[in-house]
Amino acid sequence: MNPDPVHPSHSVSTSPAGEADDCAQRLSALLDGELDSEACRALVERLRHDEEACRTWALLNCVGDAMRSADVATFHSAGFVARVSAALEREPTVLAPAALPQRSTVRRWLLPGAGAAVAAAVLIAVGLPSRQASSPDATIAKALPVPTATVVAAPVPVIDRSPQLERYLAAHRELAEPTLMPHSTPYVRTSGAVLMQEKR
Amino acid sequence: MQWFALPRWRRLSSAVLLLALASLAQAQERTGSAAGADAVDGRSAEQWLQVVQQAARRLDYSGTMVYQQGNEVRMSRIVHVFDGKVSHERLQPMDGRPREFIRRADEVKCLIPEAKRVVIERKTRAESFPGLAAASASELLQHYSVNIAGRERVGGFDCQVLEIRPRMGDRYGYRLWVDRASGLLLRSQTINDRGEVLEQMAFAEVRIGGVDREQLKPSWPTDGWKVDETAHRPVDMKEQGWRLAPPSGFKPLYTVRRPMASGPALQAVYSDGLASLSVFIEPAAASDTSEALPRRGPINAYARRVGDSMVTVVGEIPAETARAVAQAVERVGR
Repeated sequence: MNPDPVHPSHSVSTSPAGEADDCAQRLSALLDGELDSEACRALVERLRHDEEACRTWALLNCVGDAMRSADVATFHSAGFVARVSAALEREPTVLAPAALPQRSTVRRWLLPGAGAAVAAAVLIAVGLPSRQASSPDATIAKALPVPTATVVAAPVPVIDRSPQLERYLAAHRELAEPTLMPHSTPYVRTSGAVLMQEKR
Repeated sequence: MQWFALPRWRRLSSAVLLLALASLAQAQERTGSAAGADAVDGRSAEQWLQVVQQAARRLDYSGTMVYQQGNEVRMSRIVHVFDGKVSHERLQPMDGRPREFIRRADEVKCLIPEAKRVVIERKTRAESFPGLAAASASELLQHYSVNIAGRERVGGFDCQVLEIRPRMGDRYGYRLWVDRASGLLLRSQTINDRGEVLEQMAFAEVRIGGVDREQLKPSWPTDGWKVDETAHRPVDMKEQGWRLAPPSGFKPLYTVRRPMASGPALQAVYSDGLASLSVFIEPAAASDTSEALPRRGPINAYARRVGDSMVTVVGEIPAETARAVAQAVERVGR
């Protein structure tokens, strides 16, 4: 079945390998905060339409999360890409600034880990400050107030902050001494999470 | 960890556990009010606390501990043996990636099988703090009031309920269920000023006494594994140019220089005998600003920028206390 008679078969063929590589590189650069906001916006736009790019993005995030936190990494299930896609599908209105704080809070609940990072990238690509309207329960983010110049560096902190708390917790747990419970009980709190030394 | 983030089987198992905990709580309410008079009823609040402290150190026991915080439920197997001098412990988290924590006195070995690594966390007590022993029961009572409440059954044991309330709003309260026969703490809840339970730990099943030493051995042979050791060096905060002011009753346990992910940091650990908090001081990154970090159950954290340094307070303390402790940190001398 060909819905577009003007552009026959080649329009449904997959992208050339070179382009895919280039896309992966740009996604990686996005994660590293090395893209300017114009390129960011273009890439996020592409993520909304390009399934392959979306998978690559998910993969890159998995790798990053795995390096940062054992806990976060275990969240990524087979349906991950589908969830990200679905979330991006629902995303367009996030471009309306007024809707930001509430939407992002809801999304943090729906989309842990890299999902939140995608959301954050979307917010950030639009160039808006991404500080959370006080939601003490959000475990993902200590989102930074982002000055425009460093906007693209923000996707990393957004998923990195929780592991950061984990690290402080792990360091605290090492030296805290429960007097009534077994000494190891602080390890129960953070058992599945990073050890102090389990960094990249 | 959020509820929605759990894989389906873990959500299911969590749900089952929550139901189990809930029905346990109901069962307790039914049997709870049957307080009677016998020998142990003569114990004062202070004596009860002493009994619990002693039992935690000196009893041999093994069991399954359930930890619940919000929608998060974790289970761990625990084995504890006192050899007459020091205590030995083995903790096996049953969720997440396989890990094991083997403790002997002040040294904890963390086993990471997939990386074939052992991380040794060793507490180095500073010479300058001779009075490091856990806060005595009488000291505890200066900052908390203890109500000897009713009797309830937990895990098949006849327990004494102790309600521990802070005398000031700068720390949390606790509700403890103590086995009346052995003094072992079988269940504990951390409670905020609105009476909400922030987290709880309970033995789902426990066996007191008769623990085979073999159970302390790790699940994996660790020959040939890479061994890393945490390098803590005791330091004096004042000499480092910092003045810290923890809430009253919080005594210093450790003050060390230690490696953190971002580089070396100073860490001071304080405890009032029930709650503890850490103050971290490290070089600030350009983007660091003062702000509260995400809360996790009873754990609050607050980061504050002081000149070129970042001060981060983390502990089982209310958010306002974490903030106040961070605000009170001062650069002195130098």
